[in-house]
Amino acid sequence: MSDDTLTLTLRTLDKSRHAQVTLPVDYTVEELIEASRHNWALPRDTDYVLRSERLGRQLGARDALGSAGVATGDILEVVPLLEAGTRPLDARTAHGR
Amino acid sequence: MSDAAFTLPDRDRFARHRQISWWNQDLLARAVVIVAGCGALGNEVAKNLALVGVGTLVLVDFDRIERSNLVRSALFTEADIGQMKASVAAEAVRRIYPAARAIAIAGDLACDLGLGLVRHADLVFGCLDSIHARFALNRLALRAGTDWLDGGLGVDALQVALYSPSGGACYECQVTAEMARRFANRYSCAGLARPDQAPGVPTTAVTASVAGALMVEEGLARLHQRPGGLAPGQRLTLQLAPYRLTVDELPADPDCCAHGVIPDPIERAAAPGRVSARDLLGSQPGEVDLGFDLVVGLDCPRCGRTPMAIPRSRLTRAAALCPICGSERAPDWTRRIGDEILLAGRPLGDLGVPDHHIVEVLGSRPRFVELDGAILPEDPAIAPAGRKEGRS
Repeated sequence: MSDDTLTLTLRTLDKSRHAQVTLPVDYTVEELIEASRHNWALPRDTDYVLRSERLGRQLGARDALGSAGVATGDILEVVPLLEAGTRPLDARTAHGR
Repeated sequence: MSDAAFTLPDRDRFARHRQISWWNQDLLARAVVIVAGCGALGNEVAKNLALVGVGTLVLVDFDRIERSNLVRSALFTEADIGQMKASVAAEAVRRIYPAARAIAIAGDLACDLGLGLVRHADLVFGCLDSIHARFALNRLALRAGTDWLDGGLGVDALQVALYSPSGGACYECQVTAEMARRFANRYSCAGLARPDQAPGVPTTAVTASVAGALMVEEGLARLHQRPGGLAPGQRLTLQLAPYRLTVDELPADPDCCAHGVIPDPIERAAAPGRVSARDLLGSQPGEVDLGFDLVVGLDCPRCGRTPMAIPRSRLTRAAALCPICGSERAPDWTRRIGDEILLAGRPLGDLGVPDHHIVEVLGSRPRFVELDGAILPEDPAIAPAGRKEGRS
């Protein structure tokens, strides 16, 4: 295993989706969230954050995994930001109005 | 048997509360709290606050009750359909706890909730349904120097976060590129709000009830200054299937521009209906910063200008269409009223400034001025409870 990479367990909050991934240390939290959305077809109209099970904190969106304190063997969870109520407009719908 | 041992416990509504060692019913009676949003979650929070005996509740919501609200909103009935949520919720609070002072503000957070009211509140409960409303409340609360709790619901999960001017991350510190994109989509190129017409997010009375209970539990801890609850900048997430509870520290953004409390001293002036920008400026040149965007005119490319004075957040894209030719009119707005503007002599209330708002007077002697109003006593020394005890 290279010092330039991290091997992690990535999963959703409800544990319905999970994967073992090896990523470069300079991979950003935002990139990993976007990759999760894409791979797991998560709803586009919800915002997500990433939390570290070991650190007990949410990771900064613009931080690289290495500088955010993530280490090999960590479990990271993709957590939705819950809003309730009315769903804001989708960009395509908005252009139609 | 001595007289001292003779009590009438049934006469004491809060007898069971008084058996709790840390509970202070008098503190709750003096407390002023704001419930921002009177939907499913706001109903639960308001109900619980009334049951525990909070003295003053200000309930804010611009919306009306729809049939689909009835399966999640404990305070609403069939007979209330079409009524303002804030007004019906306030009536229900008074039914639950007749001694409560329940004040309804059937309006928009962005322009109808006076900053001074938030400043005098001990705590704000954010029971909102969009990032736009959360942005607005976050700015208001941090500027006013008041803690706020943010509740969010899903189908089988819920979240409660605490944000405070005393430290930690705030809501705006969490903004992602995706949130910013969705925030921008809410407004047209001319800066006018588009109506939300998309279907609602599925939620049930169950998550609303649990989230409302946790928010009030957290609120009681804040009001009593009781340790063990959330620290500022922490968010609790409760997953109901499978059961799991996590508390995370949120990353603070050192460049976040939402932080910064209005500094003391803050002067007092008459209510917005009785004072104008010119009155506040006196004989000095300068401007009055309203703290929100005021549309002062709509410019039609064919029919010319229509003067007006309306907060930008109240002006919809549909209302900006010219009633004569149907063209989209461009709004002209300002945040500051100078002495040379015609509006300077009009009462601030006519410009949409709410009771108890705080405006900034920019001139040779810059200062913040809190306007009086009908909700709080005109005496600034209202008795705050909990966290703010002893502040004023």
